[in-house]
Amino acid sequence: MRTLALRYVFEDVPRLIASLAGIALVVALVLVQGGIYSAFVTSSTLLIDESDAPIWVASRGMSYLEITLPVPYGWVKKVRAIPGVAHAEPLAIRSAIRQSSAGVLDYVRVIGFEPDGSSLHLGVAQQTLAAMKLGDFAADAAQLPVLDAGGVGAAGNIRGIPARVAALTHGTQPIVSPTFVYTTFNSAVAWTPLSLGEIMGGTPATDSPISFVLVQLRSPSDAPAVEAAIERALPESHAYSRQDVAAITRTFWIKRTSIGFILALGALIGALGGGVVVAQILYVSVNAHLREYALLKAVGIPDRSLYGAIVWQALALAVLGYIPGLAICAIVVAYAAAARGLYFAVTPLDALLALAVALVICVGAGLLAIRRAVRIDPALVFDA
Amino acid sequence: MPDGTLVAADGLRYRYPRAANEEALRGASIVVEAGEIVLLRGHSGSGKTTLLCALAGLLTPQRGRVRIEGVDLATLDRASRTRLRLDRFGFVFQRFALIAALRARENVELVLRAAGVSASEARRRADETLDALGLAGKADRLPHELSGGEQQRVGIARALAKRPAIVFADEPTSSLDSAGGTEAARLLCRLAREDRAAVVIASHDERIAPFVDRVVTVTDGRCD
Repeated sequence: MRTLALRYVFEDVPRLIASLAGIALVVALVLVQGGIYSAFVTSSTLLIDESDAPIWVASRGMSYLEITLPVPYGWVKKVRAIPGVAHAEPLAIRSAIRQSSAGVLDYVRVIGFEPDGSSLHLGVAQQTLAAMKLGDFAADAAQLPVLDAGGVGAAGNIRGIPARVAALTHGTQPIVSPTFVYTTFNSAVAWTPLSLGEIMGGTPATDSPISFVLVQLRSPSDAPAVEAAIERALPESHAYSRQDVAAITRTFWIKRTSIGFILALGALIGALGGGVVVAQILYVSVNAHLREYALLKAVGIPDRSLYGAIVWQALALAVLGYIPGLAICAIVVAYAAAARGLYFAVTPLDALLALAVALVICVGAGLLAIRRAVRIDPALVFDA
Repeated sequence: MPDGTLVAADGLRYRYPRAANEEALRGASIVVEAGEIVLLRGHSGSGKTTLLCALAGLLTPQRGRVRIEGVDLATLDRASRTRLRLDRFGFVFQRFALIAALRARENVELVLRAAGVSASEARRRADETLDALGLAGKADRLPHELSGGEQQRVGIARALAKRPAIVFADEPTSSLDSAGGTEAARLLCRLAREDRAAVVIASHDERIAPFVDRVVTVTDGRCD
C-alpha cells in the first residue's frame, strides 16, 4: 500500500505542486511567526543582555526596563560606598525628539551610560566606547536609515543639539522600542535635561534622574549581602538581579501586547487554511481513485490499510512541503535582517515544531479525505 | 451440507435500495463444490452479478443465507467478511479493475502483501503467476501499456496468485475480443484447476461453457 500511496502522490504533478505550496506556506508561516515571537521576546532584553552587571538598582515597583520611576544620580555614589561593591555606574534611559532632514519628528531612546569602565559592552571595542565625546553616540547599524545617517561619522542633531555617529552596533535594537541611541551620560543629559541642575548646568548633577545603578561585585557570592545592604542604605530602592530585570521586562511585553496570542492565532489560522487546501487536494485525489478504492475493499483490503495509504500520502506531502517551507523561512529571515535589522533565528525546536504542525495538518486532512473511500460500497467495482 | 461443499446459497432474495419493487434476486439457490468451475449464464439484468456479489459477501441478501465452508456470512461482521475475501476469495472483474498507477507485478503483489505474504514471497508468486499467464516479459509495465487481453490476464494473476479457495469472475470476457476472451477464460479455468480453486463465473458469453464443469442459468433472479 505504501507504493500505491506514493504513486498517488506523484502521479499528478500540478496537484502535487499545489499541495506542496500550501504546506510550505504553512511551515514558513509557523516558523516565521514563531521566530518573530522569539525575536520579540529576546529583543526586549537586548540592552540587559549587553550588560554584565549582576545587580541593577532601581526604584521599587519597576514595570520593566523602560518604565521605572527615576532615581537620583546621587545614588551611584552611595552604592559605591557599600562594602562588596566593586563598581557602580548610572544607566539613564530617556526619550528625546529628533527631526529628520525631511522635517519629520521622531522619538529616540537615549541610553546614557559611562563608556569608560562600563558594564555595557554593545559588541563594540571598549576603547571606541571610551573615546566617545560629547554628542557622540552608537546605534544599531539597521537603524541608520531611521536616523538619516550614512554610517560612522554621520552628523545630525538631537533636540537641536549636534549628534554624531561614533560607532555601530549589531543586534542591539529592540523590535518595539524607538531607536536606541547609546551615548555617554553627559551627552544624554545635554540632549535631554530633566532636573534643575541639568537645565542650569547642562551636565549631570546629584539630582539628575537616572533609571538604574548598575553594580559590579567584588565577589559573585556577595550578591545577596550586597543587595540587602543596598536596600537598607537606600530604602526606596530595590536591588534586582540582572536575570530579574530581564524576566520582568519579557513578562511585561508578553502580557502587555498579547503578542504570543496574536502570533499563535495567526499561525493557527494559517495552519487551518493550509489544512483546508491539503484536505481539498487529497479529497480530489481520493475521488479520482474512488473506483480503485472500491476494488481494494472488494478484494479484501481492510480499512486500516486504506487509512494507512492516506497517512503515507499525507506524510510524504508533509515532508516534501516542509523542505521548501524551511527555504522560504530562511529567505524571510535573511530579508528581515537585511532590510529591517530584524534578527530572528529558527531554532531546531522551532523547526521540529513546524514539522510536527505540517504532519498533523496533512494527516488530519488525509483522514478527513479518506472517509469517503472507506465508506464506499465495494460492490461498485462490479458495475460495468 | 455435503462434504466438499464450498459455497451454499439458499433462497436468496435481494432488492437494491433504489429499486422500487423489482427484486434482483428472487429465491436464488446454488451450491458450489470445492474445485468446481461453475458458469452463471443469463442475459443482461438476469441477476448474475448480484448473485455473485451475494456469494462473495459484498452485499447482504434481505432473505436467504450464504454459507462459505459452512460459515453463514450473516453471522460475520464487516471486518470478518473483508478478511474472508482477502484470505479465501479471488476476484476477476469485467473491466480488469487494475490499479492504474501500479505495474503489472505490483498489482498482483498488492493483494498478496495485504494478505500477509512477505515481500520476497509475494514477488516470487506474482512473477510465477504472471509467467504462467504468458506475461513474463511484461511484469514491469503499467496497465495502460498492456492490451486488453493482457490486462485481463494480470487481473486473473491477481486473483489466483494468493491461491484462493474460490474465484469470483464477473463477465471476464466481455471487454475483450473473441480470441482474447476465449484465451482469458481458458487460462482462468486451467490455472484454477491446477490450484484446485473453485470458480464462479457470471457471464452471458457462451464461449466459456466448454471450460467449465457446470452451467447454471440465471433467469429473473432465480437459478434454474
